[in-house]
Amino acid sequence: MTQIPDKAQTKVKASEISSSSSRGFQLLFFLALGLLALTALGAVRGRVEFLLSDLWILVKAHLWGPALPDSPAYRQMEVVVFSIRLPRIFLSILVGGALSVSGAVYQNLFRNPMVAPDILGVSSGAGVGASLAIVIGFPSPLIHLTAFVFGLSAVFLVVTISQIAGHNRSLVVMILVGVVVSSLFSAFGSFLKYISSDDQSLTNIVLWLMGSFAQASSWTNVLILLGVTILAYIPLFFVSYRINALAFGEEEASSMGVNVSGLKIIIILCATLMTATATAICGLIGWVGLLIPHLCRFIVGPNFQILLPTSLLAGGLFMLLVDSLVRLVFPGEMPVGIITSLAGAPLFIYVLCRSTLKWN
Amino acid sequence: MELKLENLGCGYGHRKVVEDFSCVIPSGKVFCLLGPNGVGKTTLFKTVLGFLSPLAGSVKVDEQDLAQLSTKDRARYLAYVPQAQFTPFAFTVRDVIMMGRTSRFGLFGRPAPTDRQAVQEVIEQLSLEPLAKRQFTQLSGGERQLVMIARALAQQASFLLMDEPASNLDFGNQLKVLKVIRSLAKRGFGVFLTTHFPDHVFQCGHYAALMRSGQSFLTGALDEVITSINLTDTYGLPIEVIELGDIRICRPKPEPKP
Repeated sequence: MTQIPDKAQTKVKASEISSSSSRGFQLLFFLALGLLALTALGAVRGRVEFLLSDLWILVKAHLWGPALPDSPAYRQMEVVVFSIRLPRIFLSILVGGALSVSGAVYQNLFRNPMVAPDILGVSSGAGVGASLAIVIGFPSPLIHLTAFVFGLSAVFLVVTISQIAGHNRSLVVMILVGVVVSSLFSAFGSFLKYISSDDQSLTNIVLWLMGSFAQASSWTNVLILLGVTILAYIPLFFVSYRINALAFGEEEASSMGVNVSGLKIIIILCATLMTATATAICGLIGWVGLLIPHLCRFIVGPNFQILLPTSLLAGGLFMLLVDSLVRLVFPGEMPVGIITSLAGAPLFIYVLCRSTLKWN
Repeated sequence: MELKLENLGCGYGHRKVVEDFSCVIPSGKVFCLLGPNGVGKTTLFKTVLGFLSPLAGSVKVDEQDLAQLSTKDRARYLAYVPQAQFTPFAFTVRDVIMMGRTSRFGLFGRPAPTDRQAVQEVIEQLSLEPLAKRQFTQLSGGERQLVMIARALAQQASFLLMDEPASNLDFGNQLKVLKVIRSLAKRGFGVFLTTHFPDHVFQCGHYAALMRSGQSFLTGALDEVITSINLTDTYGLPIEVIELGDIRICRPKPEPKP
């Protein structure tokens, strides 16, 4: 059984160890490049068009030194790019990244490739929480907090009910319970719309629930979501290998030395915080949290160390792409939620058909 | 070192399934737990592993009570080899074996070069090189069982607990896994395993426990416990243990010819 391997063979193996993760890092590099390119393009394209070379001058002037040529054209560009387009671009990247990372986390935690923030009811829970806060007239930080609390209670409900109903074994039970909890929260949401007396706040809630970046894009929101994403991403990064061990179930993970209940609390809090904040800012944007981690897993495999950053960047890129489409191709301001659902549903069915073959 | 189960009582809530079970598993020996379905083998196993807390008694390694250790520290004494099962995610074999190192990761929870080295050594010991880059979900049952053993070895715990390691495998793979278990004991691991096959006990065991319904046990050396009388008594069918050259096997007692 025990053989002494010769040196040459060991060397080959050593290079193989890094090969799968190096493919992941390549992908990360291209995703980052794609984000940069699309950000630059998004900044110059729109109702008013600029040249990429002018954007370069503008960015240079802001980052290091040479003062901006004093002309009205540049001043107009500065306003359009920095106050209107960039906040929206960054916000869409952050929302996509946050939703997709939470999706990846929930999927590994519940060992269920079909769950996502929207399927677990976290999004609709957070949506109801935020609507309630808006109707009551809470200030902004309280809106986020209420969204978070409602999102958490949705996860809690889904986990508890599916444990009672299916002993957490079946992949389908959790999805069904998620559907039920989502629709429960949607009913609350409709009730809030119904009793909301003020026409303006009703329109606000309705538009915002459809998921849109047009109303939400401000530097304040960008900073809030950036802070929350960093806050939640760091712990997830450090537990990513422990999340891997969860793939074999809680008992096996604990036999490998993982403190399962502590780990579950950390990752549910982080994932829910990201989803709730993104939802409180931009409304319900479906499917991203399900599809992007799924596609990423097909490409880089399930190892969380590489899946986590890949989901973050790929989610950001996808969301930016969709929002750029909405902004540049369609007239008016169509909510992005409509596009993500239109694109997401068929893609999901495709993935579903492919995956069941693979899992059984 | 010795893994000691002292007057262990286990069960769920108030329902005691196993009462007053004691045994000692020394390093370098294989201890087999044999018994019919439903007598509480799995419950006992889960209690030893700390998934269930003991209703009475204790599980100790030397004088250290395992119930008082953190999950992380316990993982340095006991490693678990489950029956290879379903996972929805297609981890590579190397990634799966790396999971066994989780309890050894440092402050930031990431593998160090020593962890990669340990994984590589285990892969070489069990001759798993051809599988290392393949996806766990695409392996055969026997290959998965070997990977589960490799994962437990990477944990570098003193004792290995194996839940029916050779069940659900074809004959060739059964022999392969039993051979691995024998070699593990030679290398100094204490092995505690459950099985349904007395023949497997003869092929790799040193000590055995026979669990019978009604919460009664027989524990001790192999030839004292696994006898024709005890097996007949336990399973309620005429069974005999016969010597065949230098090994013993177990078979249904032939009915007298008319």
